[in-house]
Amino acid sequence: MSACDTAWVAVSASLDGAADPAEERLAREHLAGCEACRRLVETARLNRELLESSPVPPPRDGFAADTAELVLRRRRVRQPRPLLLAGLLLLPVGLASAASVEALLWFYETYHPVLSASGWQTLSRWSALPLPPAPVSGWLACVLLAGLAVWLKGWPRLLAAGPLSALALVCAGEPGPALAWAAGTGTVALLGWLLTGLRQGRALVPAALAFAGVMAGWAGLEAAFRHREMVTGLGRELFWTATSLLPAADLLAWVALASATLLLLAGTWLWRPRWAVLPALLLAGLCLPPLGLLREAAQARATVRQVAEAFSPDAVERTAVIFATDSEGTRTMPYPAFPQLAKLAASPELERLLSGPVFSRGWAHRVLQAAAVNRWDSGGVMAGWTSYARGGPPAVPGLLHYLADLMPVRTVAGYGLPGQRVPLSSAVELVSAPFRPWLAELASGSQLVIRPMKGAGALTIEQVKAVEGVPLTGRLVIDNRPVAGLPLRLLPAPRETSATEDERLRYSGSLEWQFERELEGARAALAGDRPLEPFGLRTHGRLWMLTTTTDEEGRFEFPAVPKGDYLLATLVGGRVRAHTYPVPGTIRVGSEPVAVAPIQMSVYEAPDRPANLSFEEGRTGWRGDTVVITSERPTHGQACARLDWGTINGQRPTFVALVQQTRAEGMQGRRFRYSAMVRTDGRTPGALWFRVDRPSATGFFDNMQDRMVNHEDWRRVTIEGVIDADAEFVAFGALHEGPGRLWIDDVRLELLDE
Amino acid sequence: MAFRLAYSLLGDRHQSEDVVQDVYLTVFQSIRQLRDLDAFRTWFGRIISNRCKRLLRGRRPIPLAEVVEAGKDPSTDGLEEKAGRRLELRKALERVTDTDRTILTLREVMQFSYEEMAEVLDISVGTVKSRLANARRRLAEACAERGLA
Repeated sequence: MSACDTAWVAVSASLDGAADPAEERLAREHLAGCEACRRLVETARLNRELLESSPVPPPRDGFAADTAELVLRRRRVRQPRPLLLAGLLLLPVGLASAASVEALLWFYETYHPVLSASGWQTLSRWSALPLPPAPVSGWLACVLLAGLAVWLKGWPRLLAAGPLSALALVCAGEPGPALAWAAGTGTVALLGWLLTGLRQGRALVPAALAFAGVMAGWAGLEAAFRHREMVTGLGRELFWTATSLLPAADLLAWVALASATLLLLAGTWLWRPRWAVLPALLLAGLCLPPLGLLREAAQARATVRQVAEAFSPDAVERTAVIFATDSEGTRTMPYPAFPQLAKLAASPELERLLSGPVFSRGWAHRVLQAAAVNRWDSGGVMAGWTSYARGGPPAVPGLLHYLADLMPVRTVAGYGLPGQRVPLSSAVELVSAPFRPWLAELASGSQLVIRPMKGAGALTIEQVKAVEGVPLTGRLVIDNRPVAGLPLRLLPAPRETSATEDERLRYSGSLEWQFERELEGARAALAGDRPLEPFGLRTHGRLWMLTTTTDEEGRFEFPAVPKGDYLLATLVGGRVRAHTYPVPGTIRVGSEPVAVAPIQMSVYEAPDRPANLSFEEGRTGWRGDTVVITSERPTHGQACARLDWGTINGQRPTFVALVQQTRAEGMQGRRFRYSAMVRTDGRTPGALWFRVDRPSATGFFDNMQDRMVNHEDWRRVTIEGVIDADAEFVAFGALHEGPGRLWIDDVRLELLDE
Repeated sequence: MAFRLAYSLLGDRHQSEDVVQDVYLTVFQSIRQLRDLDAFRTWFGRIISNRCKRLLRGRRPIPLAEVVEAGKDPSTDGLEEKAGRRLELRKALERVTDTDRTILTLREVMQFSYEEMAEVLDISVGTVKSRLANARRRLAEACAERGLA
């Protein structure tokens, strides 16, 4: 570049008075010595003068008026464009979201067997992660969202909104909706960015798209679940999650989330008055999900009430098959599932749940955790469920999932076709439709195999031959070991819609016959001086179909069950005291009884009065799986009793007990003191216990759970109380928890002054 | 101002009218994008110059008759010599590039300041200086070729 070229820029600027001092000086110095540039300056000045004064022809007549009219007309036409745009955007996005939800459901439905066992359960467990409380974590996520919104600009904040909103929902313990939210927002935001986000000033469009997409997707979700019969467990699980989205606390998180996102939009793009209509629409849309959820929550409450009622003892007829074993899947002692479920049904927590403002899965967790804490966790739980008449509450599998999550369920009754193995996750889907083939197979004489699968938890019935009108035989096989004969009686289905009184009597007579046989066996056992293990399937094992269970002591009594529903049989001093009633355990299809099974019973020779209280006569009058009569340092006489932990049927019990039961005649209404000398080996605690048995319920009961003793020297331990006025029997003894030992001697039962 | 700028750039009355109407429509629809009212003049100028630039790109050369007619416009000062020189200058302007003609028009016809030109053309003031200087030189050279001193 020549000197003239360099200086000419300064000279040109100087011509316009726009040169800085240095340029001014350069221009002066250069012009002084450069003739060519001086001529150039002259030409440039002349040109400027000519151009400045060059004439411009006027526009045609009326040009200004035409232009004004054109502008005004165009403005009138274009005014409603934002609304039009919003409407046009909402429609396809909503349709697309609904379609994607449908596709998602189809996918879940189709691949449910693959996904349900692991995927969704894993997902469900995310909500059980030790996160901060939902409101706290929700708020934190909102704050994070707002912070990022301030920091980011343009479309990235939209992309961040999806994952962060999802995070907020996950923190609130709702992984399902969080996924939906993330997918909807993220996809639509990305789409919006790709379509319009690169062009300045159109950033609102993807924002609107994102919100509209989420809202429409939500609406689609609701609509899909309302209009579709979801038959898979996963579908119901989704439904369950969707309908229990918001506990009250999470509602705040939701509102906060919506507000934060709305503020985010308002603070950036929505200051233009014309667009105010769009946030208003969005706000209205945001109000819809909570309202819809409140409505769904009411339905969910009704559903849970149905569940509770269905599991209550009053509704026993509606439950077709319930098997239960302990957590090992091998213990044959019936598990008192029904009293526990009765507890659940009567739980104040459940009442709170049902009457609360918003029902949610979180509440259900709390209820069921309370159930677990209340020692409802010692064994397996039922899985059989049928409610033909009503079709079954839709959320039962969901509830059972939670039960299965919370309780150590290893064995669940199966259903299905012969030989089919039923995993736990499927077993909880035992509803009317899949259960019917089972009954059909049973009725047609086919074989059914029920076999426990280790770990997977399932039972199968083996070799059940059903011939109409003929008693059946079969075996219950647990761990490849037959544990009980299976007298199944298949009755002809009556034509009437309900069992007649005659049929009820027939059932009752059948049981009495069965009872007599059992009694003969028991007498033979006593005559042969064989140790009598009177309780449960351990001795008189029977597959108890339907709902016969025992309490913790193995007795047939159900405080919560109305009198007359169960059989109570006790052999007292050679006399049989038995009450038989129409058996509630009837498999019904609709209201038609199909089969009836014998009730389990126990025989125990109870002394008329407290006997052998210092164990000098060995085990006479006492029973207990692990009781040993010993001469180790007795405090009275030559013998005392020792409770070992030991094993029962190869299983480790959670506690062991010593029991004596006597008639309560002469004791009714009296104040009593029950005491005994007790010592332990110092390892694990033990206690005395005392119970009063009324005709149909338990009276006084104390097992010292709040004051268990653990000392290596003999000390007298005492329980005092009042024997109920209508007491029929009293039962007492000692119990011991854990691997230690407990010794007991010199038992006393004193009636105190009136 | 709008018509003058458009006409100076295009040299065609009808086209200039179209451009001005179009620009007014654009301005009314996009006025929300204008954050600073003080910048209206440059914003307006930019819209016009951009619109004219697009038009010029698809149109070559400027119809001579129109230019001649404009040169003989009765509203001029009537000096024959000046009119002839102006006509020659017009022809010389045809020879320079659109970029040169735009910056020369903004400065010499519309009297935009350097800062305003920088705003309209979306370039720095330094670039304005050099681009204007070069445009002036090239116009002078074109004039010299046509015998204008």
